[in-house]
Amino acid sequence: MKTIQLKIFSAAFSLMAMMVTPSFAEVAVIVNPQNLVSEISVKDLKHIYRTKKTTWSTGEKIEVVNLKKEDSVRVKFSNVILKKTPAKMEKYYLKRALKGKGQAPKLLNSSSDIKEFVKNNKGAIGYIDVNDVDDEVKVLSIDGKKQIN
Amino acid sequence: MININRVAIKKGVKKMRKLFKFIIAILLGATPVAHAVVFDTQDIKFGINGYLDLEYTYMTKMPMVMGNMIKATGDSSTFEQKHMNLLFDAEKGKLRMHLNFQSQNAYTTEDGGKGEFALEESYGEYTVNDGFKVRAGKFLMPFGIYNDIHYITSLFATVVLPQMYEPPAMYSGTRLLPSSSNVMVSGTYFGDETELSYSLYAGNGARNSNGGDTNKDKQIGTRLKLTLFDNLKIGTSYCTVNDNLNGEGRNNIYGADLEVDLFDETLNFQSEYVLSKYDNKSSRYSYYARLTYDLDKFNPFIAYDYFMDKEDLLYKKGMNRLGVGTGYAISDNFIIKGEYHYHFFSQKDGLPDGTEKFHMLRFSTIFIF
Repeated sequence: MKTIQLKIFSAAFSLMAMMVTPSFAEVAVIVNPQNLVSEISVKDLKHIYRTKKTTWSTGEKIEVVNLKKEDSVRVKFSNVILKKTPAKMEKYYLKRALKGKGQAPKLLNSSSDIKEFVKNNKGAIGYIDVNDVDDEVKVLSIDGKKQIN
Repeated sequence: MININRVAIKKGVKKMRKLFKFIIAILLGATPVAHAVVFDTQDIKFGINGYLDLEYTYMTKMPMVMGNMIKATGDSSTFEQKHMNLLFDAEKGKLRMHLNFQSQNAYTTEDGGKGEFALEESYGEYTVNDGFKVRAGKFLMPFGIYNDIHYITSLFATVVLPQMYEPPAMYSGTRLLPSSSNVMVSGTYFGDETELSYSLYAGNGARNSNGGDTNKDKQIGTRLKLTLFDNLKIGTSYCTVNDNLNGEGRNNIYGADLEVDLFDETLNFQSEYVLSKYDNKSSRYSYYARLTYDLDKFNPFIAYDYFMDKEDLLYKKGMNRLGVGTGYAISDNFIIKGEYHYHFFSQKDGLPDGTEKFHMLRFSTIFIF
């Protein structure tokens, strides 16, 4: 009887851990390795993801990419950096588009898609799970920190 | 007999249930979360957005200028399709092209119907950097808060805009603000807690009814907007134009606006003042103040609005409008709004009996994507 209880407890605990883990995802903001920028402020990231700031200091166009609004990495990035839920940001992008102030950032399906896009576009910026970072992209320091906790 | 009634009642209840399910299905079917249509390639971002709003207005007896007289109208109501716009936007690198097609003020009449279809905006914009963008084509000059957002009805709490942008039908004059511009440079500078945006624009001004350009010079204007701490926006606008279509001479228009967002952008206060001065006729001016509360789904507001035009038989008496109402977002794409307006004149002499004050009820249904 005790074995069965332990097994149920263990399964429930594992399930809970699986459900909780994504919300603890650590997020890295990445750019193309050719980009001269290596540090960015939260304020600038906000301006970039609100599509107000559209060029780097070199004059290069900023190509912003987003994950889908349900993605836990986007939820983390949106809540911590932009201080708005992904759903509220989608409403914000719709309003910007209707005002004729440009379109929403490109939506990609996964961290690997974002990495691929950033690798191939000099002006691109995106965010991925810290565990997916490799040498093909450059991680930006955000106000001195390498990742969003 | 009793049995027959019970059967009839049961049938009636069944029918009602079916009708209820049908209404629920329609409501659910009409409220999916739709997004812009987007076609992205490696180089080009292409998107289509749109909005549609239908409006119903009920007006009590009110004064109206007919010839050189002010007469009273009876109670009336109208139902019209206010806007249906399709917006096309394409971006390739730093170049963006934008088209806005509009069908406006469409309603049925005895001989068929009326309405206008227009290419509302069409321009190309090149971004050198955030501090310097160049735009050319046809677009609304960014004078004041609402010209900057091109009157998109889903983006403001009320059914109708303040009188300075959208004067009621009883006003015989032209709009306070001229509309189109043709070339513009604009930009934004970002500070730690500040943002400074500017626009400098030039346009052709109004053409006469034959399409000829009678202007001695062109319309030019500017707008500056300072944003502090993300939640305080202060704007000033200026435009000068020499249309002189009816001998009124040069028109200088001055504007100031203020917007404050409080409590995590749930409470919004907005106010604007516009003064339009002519060389050869009296000035016109208008101002309003509005407080809006964003309760996620509900969006109640209270507003006060004033318009003075000494050249207009009716508006020289000073038109005051108090408004209260709310919007309700059924979904991100489907909004309904309702509001009540109480109108009264600062001077009441010369008005037909019973028109010193009058009332309006306005409702609208808006679909956006």
